[in-house]
Amino acid sequence: VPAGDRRLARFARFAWSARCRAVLSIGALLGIGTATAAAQWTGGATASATFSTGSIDLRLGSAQVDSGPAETATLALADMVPGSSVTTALPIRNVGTYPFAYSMATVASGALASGLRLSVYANTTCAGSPTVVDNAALTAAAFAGRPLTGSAGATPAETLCFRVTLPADAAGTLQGATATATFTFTAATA
Amino acid sequence: VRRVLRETTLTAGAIAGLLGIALAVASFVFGLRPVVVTSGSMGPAIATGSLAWARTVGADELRVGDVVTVDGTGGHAVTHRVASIAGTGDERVLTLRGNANASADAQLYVVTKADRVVASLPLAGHALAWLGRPAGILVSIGGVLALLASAFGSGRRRARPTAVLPRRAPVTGAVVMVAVVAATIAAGVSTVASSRAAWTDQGTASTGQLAAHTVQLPTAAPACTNEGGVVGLLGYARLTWQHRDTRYAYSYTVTRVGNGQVVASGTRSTAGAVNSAVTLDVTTSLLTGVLSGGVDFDVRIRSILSASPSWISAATWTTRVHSENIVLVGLSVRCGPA
Repeated sequence: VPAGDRRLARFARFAWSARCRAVLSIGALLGIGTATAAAQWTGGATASATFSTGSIDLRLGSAQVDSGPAETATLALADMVPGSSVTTALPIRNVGTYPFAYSMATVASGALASGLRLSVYANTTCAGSPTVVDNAALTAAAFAGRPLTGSAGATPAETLCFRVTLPADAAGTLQGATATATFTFTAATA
Repeated sequence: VRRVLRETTLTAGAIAGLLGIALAVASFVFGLRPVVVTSGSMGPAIATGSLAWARTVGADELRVGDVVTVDGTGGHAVTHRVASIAGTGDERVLTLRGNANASADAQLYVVTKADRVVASLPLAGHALAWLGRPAGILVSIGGVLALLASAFGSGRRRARPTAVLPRRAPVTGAVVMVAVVAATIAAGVSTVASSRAAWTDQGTASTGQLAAHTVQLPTAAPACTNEGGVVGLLGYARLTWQHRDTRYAYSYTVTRVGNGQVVASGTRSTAGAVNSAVTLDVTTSLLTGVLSGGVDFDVRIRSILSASPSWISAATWTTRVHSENIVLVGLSVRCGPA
């Protein structure tokens, strides 16, 4: 038997020995250590390394729909003159399992849009001061980072009141003009 | 049975060890970085609990459709798919979207480099998370120590005389390695950053039609009647029309035909109901500076919003009147042209 083959056989026996395999198993710790040390946690959980299969689900209106709630469709008014306003209450819910904060952006179209103002109140009747959006131009009305909270044990929900106003000093050139607006609500896990 | 169990365990340990070494070497040589995915926003491609491997690449190498891990706000990492890329040079502005999300992330990410995910393994993230916890560390270190002990321990089982390695050295080496690895794991666990929220959802709500009022003229032209003009009373022209809308008032201007000179202007308001009569008396005192008869004037009536006078009807009712010297009465105003 050539010396080389003998050495190979001896190495194979050594490599398969209990000691060698036991020493090799230390490598598992090395792998775990490397991976754990370098691992970046990404997604929607926390440093406690909890995993979640949860979700968030923003719903609008009393019908709890994703889009086109009946409430804002009633934000319609013909024959507006300076000082006219129209209001509606819009319920917003999170029927998912994660808490979220949400933002709103407005896209408005039509010649009248430039003259309209939007106020959003944190109540159902548009009473008091508009704390969410204060008399902003409809074309640029927005808010962000509003946490949706609810009473303990209940679905997180709140009702906002929207008021669209044609200000008293609106220009006469807006006569006969029309507008529509779409509010886009985007929720992100808080 | 014990022997089989021991052999199996040793073999499994050795395989795990080789994998671990391969993983550590690969991470080092190819710059791969493990990413534990803790939410389902990239599902179903990358499910919750997956372990992904990412390689850092320059921003210019990124393409739409790549799955990247980038730092979000507050040092939290987000793993999402690139929806669009803007910018040139070293910096790129990324719009990211989770596979399972209806909308793109509100936040834009400005990056000069990003970790591009090259592979992912379901459930491995769960395993790594468990192994990285104190209980997992204890079990894995304990397991390896038990294997070492059973291989080098009592010596009841045959120590191979041909063993190349000296008897003490591997044990000492192993203890040192275990200590180093344990310290590494501990350091790794303590530096794991909390991750940013990655779920988004979107809803839209539209208004109905919002329409502004258009100011309208009275439906019919003003009627003109001659009033006064008998002895002792000056004659004047009275214009009468129907009130169109309770929100309205009426502006008038009187201009001299020929030179267009405005000789009178003003507003007539009324508290009357819709369709009640509104009148404007065009007298000589209204037409200041008019001294002679035989001059034509146009009286123009327009509707306005009484609360917002800049809202004025586009159209006009025009009524022609004229001045006239009446015997025994004097200078008067009469309907129609001279």
